[in-house]
Amino acid sequence: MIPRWTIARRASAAAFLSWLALGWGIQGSSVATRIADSLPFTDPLAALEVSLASGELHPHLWIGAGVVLGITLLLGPMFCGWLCPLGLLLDLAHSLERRVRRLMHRHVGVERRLPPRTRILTLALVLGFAATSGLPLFQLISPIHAIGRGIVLGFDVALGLVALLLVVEIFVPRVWCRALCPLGGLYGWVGKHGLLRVRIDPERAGQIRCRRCDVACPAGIAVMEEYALGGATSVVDEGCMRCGACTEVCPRGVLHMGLGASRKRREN
Amino acid sequence: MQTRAETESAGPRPSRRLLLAAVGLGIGAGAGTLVREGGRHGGTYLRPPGAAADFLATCLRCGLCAEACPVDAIAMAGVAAGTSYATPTIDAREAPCRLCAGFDELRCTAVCPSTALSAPASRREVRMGVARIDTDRCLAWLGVVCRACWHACPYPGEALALDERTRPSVVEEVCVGCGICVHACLTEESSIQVTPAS
Repeated sequence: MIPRWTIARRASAAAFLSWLALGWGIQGSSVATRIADSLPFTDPLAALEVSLASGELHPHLWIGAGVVLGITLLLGPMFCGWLCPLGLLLDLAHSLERRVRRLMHRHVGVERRLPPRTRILTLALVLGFAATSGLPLFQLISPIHAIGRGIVLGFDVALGLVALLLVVEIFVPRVWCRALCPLGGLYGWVGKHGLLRVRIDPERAGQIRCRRCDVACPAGIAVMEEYALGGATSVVDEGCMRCGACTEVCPRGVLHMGLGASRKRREN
Repeated sequence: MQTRAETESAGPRPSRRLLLAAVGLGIGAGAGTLVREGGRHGGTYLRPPGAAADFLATCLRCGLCAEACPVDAIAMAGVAAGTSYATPTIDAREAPCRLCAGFDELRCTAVCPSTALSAPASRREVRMGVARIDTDRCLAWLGVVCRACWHACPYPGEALALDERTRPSVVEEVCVGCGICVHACLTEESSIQVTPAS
């Protein structure tokens, strides 16, 4: 089966980066952009940090951040899977790693230990720091923006952080997206109930307990065990990046991405 | 299977999340208090026009201003700038602010998403800093007829005045601090420098 979502997702993130680099009708970086010199999109974490650091609300800043938060609230944390430059890089790196492991006949599976979910901790850390220090620290050290800003204004030493992360991720897969990223933590929290999410066909769920979805999930969500076998009709999870990886490996078509409010849990 | 379901549940339980958030806030706020004094300063740089007093707190480090600048005067500070990293700076000797001559508005202030750069009421009210002349090096003050800075100044005769021997002096109340004079100065090291505001 052609991994349509994966292709679409990577194409989307790559297109976003290229668009930023080319600057045709778009200005700015992954922190804040303006499309057609009017439509603002602002990183909501940057807006939060700056508001806390300066002790002012900056209403004008929250227009752009509000647009992004609104989309996230409605659809889900789309930035993570579909636009994040670092997400794209890590995604490609892990996919390459999987291929190499397969060539070396190493087992690829859930047995690989994933780091715990502690994004809430880093998010609180960054916000607490901004409020007392008066510095939007994450905007200085973010590896996401090291790429997203670097491609527009020229890369610098901050890219070293990205390189370091790539090395760490070989040993602790997905440590950034699962445990460290405060931006993903914010998006996951806001977009948890977003309408575009993985839908589960309850009639067919659990017929083959292959766990391919659990293995495929980059966020380490137990799609089958927790959701499909639990009788859920959709995956409502803070860690879900709407990447569609689980839907692509499902041999029975139990999982698919879709819009629409979730139905109540099946009576069992 | 059972073990995984237990260890990999759908995320931390509410009580654990609350604890994590509280620990994060505590450590973050504590560390923030420690760096507050040193961090806020972050060195003095010539900033684009309309820069907020609390610049390090209000600047998003997005680079929109640098991209919008029609004369490429704005460069984002490198890692060596410490807490000023990725904030916009102007090296007037390299490329001074031309106050967007020929444009309807100051482009950097128009695109800035926060209030880090906000448009002054008029160009005359821009206060990026104040120019100062080193009279020991200035050609005119050494007796050579020069006037390079005066010719370049956007407000000649107002911000830069010439005396009867064509020696320039800065009228601090009028000088906008754009640095065009710094760029124009003929001496090897500019004899006129802008002292950045705050």
